[in-house]
Amino acid sequence: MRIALLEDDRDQIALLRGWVEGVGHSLHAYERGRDFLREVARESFDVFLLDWMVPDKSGTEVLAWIRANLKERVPVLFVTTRDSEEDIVTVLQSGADDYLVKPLRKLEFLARIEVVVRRTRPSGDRDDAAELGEFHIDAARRSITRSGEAIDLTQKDFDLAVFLFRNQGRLLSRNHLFEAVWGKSTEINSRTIDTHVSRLRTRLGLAPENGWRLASVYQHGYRLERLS
Amino acid sequence: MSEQPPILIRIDPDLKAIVPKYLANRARDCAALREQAATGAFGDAKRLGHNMKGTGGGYGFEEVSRLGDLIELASVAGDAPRIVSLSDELADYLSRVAVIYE
Repeated sequence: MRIALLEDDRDQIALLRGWVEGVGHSLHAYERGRDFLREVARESFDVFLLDWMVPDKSGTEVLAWIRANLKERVPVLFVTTRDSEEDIVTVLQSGADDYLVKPLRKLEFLARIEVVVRRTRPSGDRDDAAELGEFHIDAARRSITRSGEAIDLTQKDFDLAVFLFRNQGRLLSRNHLFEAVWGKSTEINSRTIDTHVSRLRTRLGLAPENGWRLASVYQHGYRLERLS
Repeated sequence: MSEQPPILIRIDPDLKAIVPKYLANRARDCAALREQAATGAFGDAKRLGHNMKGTGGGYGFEEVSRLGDLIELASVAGDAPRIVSLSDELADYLSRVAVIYE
């Protein structure tokens, strides 16, 4: 899971980074609201974590911008020391999906993230096996078939295909794809991803005449769509 | 202060890499709070208290959160002697805390 955090306290960032990376997620932390908004406008994330009080913008301002400007309904979890009933109600009514009061408890925090993401994308996209039209994907066995016919893919192509199918309909940034398939620490040429995507289009027949589109979105990334 | 018994705190070993820095930062906060109380920089003191309140318990130091809450309240009230007293209490706690990672 790729997480964007708005938080100006570096000790809090270090704590949350350890928690989420410990369970295999990636955390991108921003200490200023404007930096956070710039990144979420051009990158894709699975969930946003917002502190209320940061130096340049309030978490509520950031939440309002997200709900007004982002086409995708990314879940928002407020993480703040403000604990009045009025504050909690205001934030939830403004479009946040959940609200956690600091200090945080590790397991509850991680569970709340899982829940808001599952609630937003309830399609069972983390199941090992899935039927998607003519495709059958078995992530555990690392097999993919189209109309019953097995398709040979390289390891990275397979991982990329699974990630795209699991996130069908979402616009995914190149960096998001890099992290999900190659790992956060890996540095690869941006053209590498284009090569893999192009090969997937061909090998899987992801074309409009087959009811699929794997669209390239200029300066952003890719979106896999089912047309029929 | 050093004659007081240690305060044993059991903490998740996963936090071992970041806890020493966290405690060192709080020790620095003690000095900053005294200066802020002396100069009337209550907004800065409020922010430090607020951040302590938000982080202490997450790291396993509930006392830091408790004191942070009180520091924030004292800062809002502009109560400099109270801020100094609470920063002394925090310094005492930090001098006695002994972390066990398990």
